[in-house]
Amino acid sequence: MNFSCNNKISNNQLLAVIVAAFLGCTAVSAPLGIIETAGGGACISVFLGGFAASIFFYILVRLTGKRITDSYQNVVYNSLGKFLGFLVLSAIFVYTSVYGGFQLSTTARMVHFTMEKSVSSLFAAILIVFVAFYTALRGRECVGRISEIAAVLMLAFIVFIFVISAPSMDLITLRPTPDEWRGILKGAFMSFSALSVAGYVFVMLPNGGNTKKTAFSVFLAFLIITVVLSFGTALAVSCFGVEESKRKLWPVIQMMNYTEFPGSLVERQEVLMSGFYVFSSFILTSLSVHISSVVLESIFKNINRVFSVLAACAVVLFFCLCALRKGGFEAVYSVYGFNLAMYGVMLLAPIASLLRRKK
Amino acid sequence: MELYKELNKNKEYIKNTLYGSDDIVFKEFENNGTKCFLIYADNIIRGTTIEEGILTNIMVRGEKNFDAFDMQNNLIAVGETKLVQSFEEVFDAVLLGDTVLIVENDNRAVVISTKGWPSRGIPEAKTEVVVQGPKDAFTELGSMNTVLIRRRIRDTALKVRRFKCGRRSKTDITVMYLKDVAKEELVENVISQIKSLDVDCILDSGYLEQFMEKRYSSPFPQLQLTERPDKAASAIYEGRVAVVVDNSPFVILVPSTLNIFFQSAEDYYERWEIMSFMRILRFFAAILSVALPGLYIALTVYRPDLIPTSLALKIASGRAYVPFPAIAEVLIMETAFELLREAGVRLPSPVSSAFGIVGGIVIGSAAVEAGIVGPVVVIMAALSGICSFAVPNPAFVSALRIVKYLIIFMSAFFGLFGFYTSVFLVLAHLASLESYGVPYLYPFCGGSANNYTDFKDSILRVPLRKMRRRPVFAKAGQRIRMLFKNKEGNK
Repeated sequence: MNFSCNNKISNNQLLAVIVAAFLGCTAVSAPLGIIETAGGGACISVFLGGFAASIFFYILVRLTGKRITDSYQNVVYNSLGKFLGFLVLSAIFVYTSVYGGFQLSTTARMVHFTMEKSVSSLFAAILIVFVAFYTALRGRECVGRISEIAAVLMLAFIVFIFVISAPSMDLITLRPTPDEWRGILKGAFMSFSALSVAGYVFVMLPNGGNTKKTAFSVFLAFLIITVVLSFGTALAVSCFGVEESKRKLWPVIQMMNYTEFPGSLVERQEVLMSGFYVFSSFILTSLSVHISSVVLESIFKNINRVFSVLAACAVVLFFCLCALRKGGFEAVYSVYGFNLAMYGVMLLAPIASLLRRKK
Repeated sequence: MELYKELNKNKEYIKNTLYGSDDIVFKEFENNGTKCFLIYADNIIRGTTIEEGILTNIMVRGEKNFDAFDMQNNLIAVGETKLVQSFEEVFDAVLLGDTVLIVENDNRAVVISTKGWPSRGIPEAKTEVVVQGPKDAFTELGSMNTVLIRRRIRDTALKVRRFKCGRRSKTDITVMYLKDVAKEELVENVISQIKSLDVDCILDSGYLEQFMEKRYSSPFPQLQLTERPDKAASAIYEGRVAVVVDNSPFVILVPSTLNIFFQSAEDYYERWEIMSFMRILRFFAAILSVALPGLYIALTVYRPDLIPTSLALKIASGRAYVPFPAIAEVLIMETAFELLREAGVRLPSPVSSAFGIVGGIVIGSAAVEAGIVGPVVVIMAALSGICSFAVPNPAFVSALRIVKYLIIFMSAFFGLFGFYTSVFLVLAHLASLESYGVPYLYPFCGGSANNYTDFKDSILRVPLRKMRRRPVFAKAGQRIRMLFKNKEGNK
């Protein structure tokens, strides 16, 4: 009877989770590094890298989807054995916690500097983790359902902003120069890496379902993120110019300050954009906490659900606090930008090949 | 405990057990030498049934050595009778308004249906008023409520299953559903829940509702209560299950989603354009009633730079001499409005409307003139309260009233970030709720389960001709409810 109460999410919900969780966060964090590398051709880099990530995930899901007839964690244990499975799952736990903690620190900083100066970054982070605890405790269905609503609202909001801002784009700024092509390709790789950190959503895959539909949902999700990110980057670069964009911490959000909404009642739009980003961050943090707790439960078999979620929250918060320390942001970012992304790719590919080898 | 064969022993036991209940009547009489014993509760039984349908027949036409079975089949001129053998069944029957006949030398008793509970007739709906549509409403009599639904569903597939719930109250619970439309698991789930309840009494459907809800700690109702028979019938047609509780004028409908609480009965009786507009208005009103006070605090206290300058100056000038902070102003006005609302419910209707006007004027204007609150806060609180009345379901409105305070406090402490956090928390809570396996936010979440067709009856209501499929509550093979004939006469 029930199409719920089964701790599974549908293909549409998976699409929504990916879009809602990663759209906001990648829109804020990714373009800065890519603009520095690719200059005026940043939007091309973003599109190329994002499209490559979409194809990459489509292939991965098609390859591994049929094997995942049980939960992802059980499949890892069955395919790799207990010891190797334990190591891989531990790595995934650290990986998702670090990523979640880092994104949380970015959000907390953004809340403090852009939205509410009276709310400290630390307190903002604690509040977000509290919400993530509640959402993660309710299970993946809760995360999937709220993502369905959030993704639609976010996309509608983004499309509206783009439609308003598009007429004022200066396309000349976006034209890449011949010597920027190397930077564009490097930027494409950075974009690919930035999106590939989303690989841990494999844990959320609707196991045993129609692999083709699931793969298409994943492909579509990353394609949507790619298109939005590319357009956002193009807008930011055309608004500020290449050199000024490199100095902006969150160019896409700060660009909102210069966008004129017709008949708008609100005088500072970047706060509205921050709200959209905060929503995305809630979902991403909830997702990170949920996946970390699920992985923890598969490592420690008899752990209580509440404790696993609490432990996951504590670890995510810990990494967030590390990033929030003075100088911590730059230190973590320099590691995150490349190593963590490679970490993600390194995790996915061997698991996929091992899964394929064992039946 | 089984009945005795000896009539005297039965009489003694029954009289001892019911000792002190002066409304229970014991009648001893003879049927051609065979002693009989009649027990019934005075004023519960129906008219002259006992005299005409029972006593006259037995005394005039009865034969010697007739036992209980013979009495039941040959002498008692009442439609519903049955034989019982235990004292518990005898007492249950008497207390429910039936009459029990015990015959000498027989350990069986005849239960004769003579229920005639007093009722107030079919009233008009008070909480779900419509402009166009039927005006009748349920009563406290469960049997009457069942009849009101049956009038609207003349289908042999309509099943009416009766149970008793409550150790002492033995309240009649009736579960109604369409056998070929409602999902079997849903029906069995509801019935098993009712059967498994072990409580003293079920006094109202609200009692049962709270026992049936999975997440009883949530302020949001997960089951729908209605006093309208047309709404109950409509729900049954969609594959939902109606639970009629005796002594309660509200019928429970399961499962229920958030979308359902925004639907009014007359949505389907009037034109689709205006009703779609009303639906959008209701959703907007619900959002406004919950979010407006918190947003006001977040913007005026923490981010006045977001408000257009002219409006910000107006607000500031209104608050210039107000001695309280914004949160105190908002809480004063919101609390005052809640008190007015609560007091208005308890007052007799001739007085309540005047009271509402006087109270509003006194609290609103006088408070502003006294400088206790600013004028904008009065308007904001009134608007928030009026918007809450736009939502058709009172239980859902009550939940919004509570959630509003969470958003107010979060906005007061953490500004705009607190506002976003509280809104997300509420959404997450709603996303985690389910009603008998259906996500609470359906069709906004999980709408693909019925190919997104349920969006046709959500924020907008499409023309009835386009609503050809039943909602997701119905069995998978029974989703088509409307077929049209083409020019060739084929469906």
